[in-house]
Amino acid sequence: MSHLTPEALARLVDEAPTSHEAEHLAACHGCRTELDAMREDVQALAMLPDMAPAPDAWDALERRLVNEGVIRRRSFAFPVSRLAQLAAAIVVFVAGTAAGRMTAPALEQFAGGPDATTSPAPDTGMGSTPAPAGSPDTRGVPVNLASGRPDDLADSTPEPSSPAPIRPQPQRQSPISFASNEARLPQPGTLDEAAALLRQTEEWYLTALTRYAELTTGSEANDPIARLAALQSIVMTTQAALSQAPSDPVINGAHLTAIAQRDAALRQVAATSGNGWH
Amino acid sequence: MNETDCIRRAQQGDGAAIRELYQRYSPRVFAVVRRLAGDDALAEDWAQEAWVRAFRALPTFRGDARFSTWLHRIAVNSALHGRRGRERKAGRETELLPDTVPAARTDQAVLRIALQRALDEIPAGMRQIVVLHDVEGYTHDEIGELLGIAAGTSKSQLFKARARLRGILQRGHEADMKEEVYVASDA
Repeated sequence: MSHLTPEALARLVDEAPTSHEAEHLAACHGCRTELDAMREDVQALAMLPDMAPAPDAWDALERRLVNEGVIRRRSFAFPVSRLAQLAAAIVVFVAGTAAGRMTAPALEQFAGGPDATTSPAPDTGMGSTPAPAGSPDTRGVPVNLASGRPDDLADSTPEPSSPAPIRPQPQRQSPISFASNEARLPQPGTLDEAAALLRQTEEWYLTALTRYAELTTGSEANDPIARLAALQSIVMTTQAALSQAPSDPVINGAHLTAIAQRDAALRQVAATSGNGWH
Repeated sequence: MNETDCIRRAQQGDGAAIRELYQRYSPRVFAVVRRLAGDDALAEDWAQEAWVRAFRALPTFRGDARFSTWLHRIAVNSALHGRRGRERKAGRETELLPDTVPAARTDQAVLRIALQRALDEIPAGMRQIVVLHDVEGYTHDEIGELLGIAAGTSKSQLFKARARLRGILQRGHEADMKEEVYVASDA
């Protein structure tokens, strides 16, 4: 006795058997079992559950819909992934700067310690490469920050009674150049000036980071609400960092800058929405 | 927000409404596209394409059909379009039928998981017909219209597909049984 073919059994799920097939099924336990199994398969197929797409699928779709102009008014939904990226960048910046302060020669040492003039850093164009001995000072001679005097004179010339003023370096071209203010990095002469410079560079860093986010995320970052939410996240991050190191000037600087940026964004939102939140 | 309002606002490009429609229907859309695609990466691309097509066409949606039905059809068409594009590049697959023998049953949850895996293993031409007919409930006439084939062809392909699925499930079951024997003999 030959069994019914799999295709015939598959057909019998939907259709009535011929007389020959009915006779065979009545006599063949194997084919009946197989037909029952196939019916069960088909029932199970009809009940297969829905399937969730990847969690980031909406982000990619939304970007495309915005780019194509399908979405004209963006959702005010919290941009979690963008926030996470920005907050992570700030955390890396703050942690990296703090770690750098702890592992690199301290400012105080740089200002007056014995290694200040014997371990030159690579020339980054930012102001500390010693000029060759005897060469004319056309690039800015490294200054002993404690005395304000050129390093090569520090050990042989009596110190003046008051710190020398920081010499401006008009010939020195900083690699950092902003179109708006042609910023130059000065050489700090005191610890306070160094701290002030640090705060300034933090602000530039945050500005650059914000701009970077705008450029990499397209029109999304131009949404003032999204930007405000992102900045609030930065404030929360720096606030959390401050709870660990409340007197750290780097973290304080980052925190104050983030607050200022957030408040500016808040004013922008208030201005663009007329009478405020709806 | 009820669905009518949501659709009306989405038609005007409201991001929140579009997102809500996506959240409401994305599991359904992804499921049908995923089953037609046969793998995750392809399904993600096709699902995104389906949604872009749907939202582009949304201003033309007049509510003559249910939104879910309209969207489902777009998802199926997008997946079939994606499949045709791949077939044009790769050439059509040949389909062979294995011999099958009766197999014991498993419980329903295990069966569904096994069926989903088995669907991924059968040739794409068979898969799209069994998914459309047995999973999504399309008739052979509708499938014929969607795929540009005769209803009889859809029917014969469906029976081959079911037979192929059964064979895959049976081989999986036999492998499980061997595993159980090994475990029992180790114990």
